[in-house]
Parts: sequence; structure tokens; C-alpha cells
Amino acid sequence: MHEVLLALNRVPGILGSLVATTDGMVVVSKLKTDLDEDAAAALVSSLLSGTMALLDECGRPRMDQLVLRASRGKIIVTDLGHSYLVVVTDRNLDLNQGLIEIKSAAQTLRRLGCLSV
Amino acid sequence: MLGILRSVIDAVLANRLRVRAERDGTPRSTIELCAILQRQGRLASAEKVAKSGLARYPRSMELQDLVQSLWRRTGKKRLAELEKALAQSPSAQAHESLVEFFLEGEELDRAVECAKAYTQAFPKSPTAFKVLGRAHITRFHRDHVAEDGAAALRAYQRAVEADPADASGHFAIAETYYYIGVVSKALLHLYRSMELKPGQPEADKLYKTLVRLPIEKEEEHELLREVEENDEAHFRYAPSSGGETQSVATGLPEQTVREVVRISTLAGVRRVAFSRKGQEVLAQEGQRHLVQAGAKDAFLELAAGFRRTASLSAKRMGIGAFEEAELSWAQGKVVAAASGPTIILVETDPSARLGTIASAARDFISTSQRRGGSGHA
Repeated sequence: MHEVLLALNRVPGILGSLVATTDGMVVVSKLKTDLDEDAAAALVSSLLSGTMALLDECGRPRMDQLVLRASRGKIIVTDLGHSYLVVVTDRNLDLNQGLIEIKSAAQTLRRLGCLSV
Repeated sequence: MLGILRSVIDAVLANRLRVRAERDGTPRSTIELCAILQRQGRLASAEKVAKSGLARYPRSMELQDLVQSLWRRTGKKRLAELEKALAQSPSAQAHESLVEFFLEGEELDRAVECAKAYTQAFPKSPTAFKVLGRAHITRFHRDHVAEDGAAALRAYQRAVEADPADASGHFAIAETYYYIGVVSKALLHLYRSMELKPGQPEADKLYKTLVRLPIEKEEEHELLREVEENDEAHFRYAPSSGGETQSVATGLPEQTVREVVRISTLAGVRRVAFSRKGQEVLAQEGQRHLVQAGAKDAFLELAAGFRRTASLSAKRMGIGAFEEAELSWAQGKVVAAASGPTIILVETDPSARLGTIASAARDFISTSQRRGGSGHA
């Protein structure tokens, strides 16, 4: 799992990535930002719970993807089944190319089957 | 022959688009006009058109990207010249020109870096610290990150320490304190600035605003943090433009409510929620379902909650201010556009044309900002 995230982080424009469980517990974190792991876990947890609450209101579907765009970058959350892949990018990421890399990493992570924590 | 025909068609098309761009309610014609001007090799004109379009539609992502890319293309030569001039003779002027260049292109991270280099090269120059303060405060306005606000204050204070008789330095401090709501300190520095240089129109204008404001209760670092976490906390709100009727039920401009209802009629849209500082509207298939102030609706509450969470996550992850989100699942999608305290959340069918809806939401946010005045003064 570490290698998958490290390989993903090598894509130009990706600042870091992590895998978190549905309740926001961080499984693996490879963030290049100044944020420490606990703060990242708290943020991911609150972002996921906000998103889940929104999804509940829309009929409790399973989320495919969340792309959050900010002035200096993006946060992309992808569903892995029992957990989520969270990728932080800068504003120069080519979204088409980046999403392909993220989907491919998500597929590998799903296959690894080590996410049922 | 074909080339000549192509350029004639482009010229005719450019003229038509120029007229249409002035009447168009969306940035589409301006973007098309820029594409033609670029094809004609008129990059400077394209940049000018894109900038004027961005002034009309400040939240248009296409125009923002266009201005950035045109600035990079036209600015390459200028940047090389400025860097060469700085390497040959590292004068204050050369440093300042480079910072100005990055500020103009809104490359604020690089502007801050260059301004820091300027202060290191000229540690006793008040101008260098004022330039650094300006770079930080511009980034603070863009991202609402507390560190930038504090760094701007520190830089301006260093400028004033270096030259205590500098009226503009005191004015810059007063303005920064005003942005974050520290009225007492803002007044103190404003008085000093007016004393040193009487008759400054900007100072008089700020004075008239400050004397009407209550004195703050919190410390400045708490206020800065609050600005970062709530965006809207202590930013001053311009009054709504005169002449427009307000919806009695929501307190929102009637036009804003009508626009929310209009978005709900777009193909594939299920419902639309709009929230700004407790003023909320929910629309579904062209009907206002909830306009009563204080009434509760789960989708509306989630809209405001999602904005706060997304905003905080984006800032803490170091990627600036939250602007847009797209959430997708097998049976539908949610598109969000936000700015400061304002958010519009649109739930759609999976088959909906997301580009059109996202663009409508973005344009709505930009016009509602202008109408409702939720930007800082």
C-alpha cells in the first residue's frame, strides 16, 4: 500500500495521498504538506462525515468520487469499498491524466485487499 | 488561399463575438473571442479581453485559467528580462519589478518568495517590507489563511519601524487591522497616518467606516484564526446595491431567489440549496419550497455544513480557499460552488449536463457576491 501511494505521489501535481477508513481513521498517509498525521486524520474524518451526511440526504447511495476544488489545488476522494483514497493536488494537476492515475491506484488498492481494517 | 479565407472568417467572427460578449449574460462569448484572438496571434488583445471578462465574471474558472495561461505566454519574455536585470544589478527597483510582475499575474506564492528575497537583500528598506506586506495581504485575501494575515502585519510593522514617519506604512497597517476586525488598532494607525499626511482620500474613507464599527473584544490572532476558519467572520460586508427589492421571507435580494429557482429548472436538476450566513433558499423544479427565515431543511443545513468542512479541509491541507466540489455516485451527482460564506448546492440526475450546471452555479456565485456584497471591503 505504501508503494502504491508513493508511486501516486510521483505524478506531477500530486502533493500527497492517504487511505482512510469510512469513519475517518487514517490507515496509511503519504502527505507532502506540512500537516501532521493527526490533523490530517481529523480533517479527513470531518470531510468524509460531511460528505456522507450529504449522501444520506440524497438517498444513502455509495459515493464514487468527490472532487473538491480550491484556489491552490484539489482534494480528490475515491471510494475503495471499506475505505477511501484521499489525494491532495496542486492547481497545476492535469485533471484528466491525474484521475486516470488515481483510478488505477484505487484499483490496485482494492485488489490488495488489505483495507478491511 | 485557404489561409486568407480563414483569417477573413476569423476577423468577421471576432467582430460579432465582441458585440455579443458585451450583451452576453455568461462568459462564453468572451472565451470564444479570446480563442479567436489567440488563433490570430493577438495574444496581448486576448489577454486584455480575458481580463475584462474576468472583471465581469470573477468566478469563471475558464477565464481565470485563460488569463493565467495568456499571462504565462506573454510574460515569458518579460520575466526573462526582469530576472536578467536582477542578476546583473540586484537593485531595489529590480526586486520590486519582479514582485510586481508576479502580483500582476496572481502568482502569489512566487510574489511572496521574491518579496522575501527583496527584504533579505535590503533589510533596512521600508519599501521592501511594504512590498512583502502587500504580497502577503493579497494572498490572505485570496486564501484567508491566518499566517498570511499575521505575516502581512509583521512586514508592515517592520516597514514602520524602519521609517516611523511613513504615512503609507501606517495606513497599510490600519487597513490590515480593519480587514480582520481589530478596530482599535486600525484607528490608532489611521490617526497616525492622517497626522503624518493629512488629506488622503483613502484614509478619510476608511476613517468614516471605522468610526461606525464596534471595538473588537477578541485578540488579533483569534480574529485572524476566525477569518481563516469561518471566512466571513470579521470581513466587512458592503451593503446590498440600492434599488433592488429584498425577499420579505428570506431577507435575500429577490433576484438571488429568482436565480436559484431558475437553476432548479435546468435539465436534470433535482433541487438547489443556497445558503449565506443563515439566509437560505431551497428550490425544486422551479418552485421555492422553503423561503421562510429560520425554517429547517436537512439539505440546506448540509449545504452550510459542507461549506465549512470543505473550506477548513482545503485550507489546512494548504491548497487555499474552497471554490467548487463535485460529488458523484451511480444515481446522481451534487455540484457545489462556494465563495466565502456563500454556497450553492445542486443535486442532479446522472444524465444531467454537468458542465452547464457547474457553469451556471459558478456564475450565480459570482453575481450573488456582487449583488449581496459578501466580499471584504
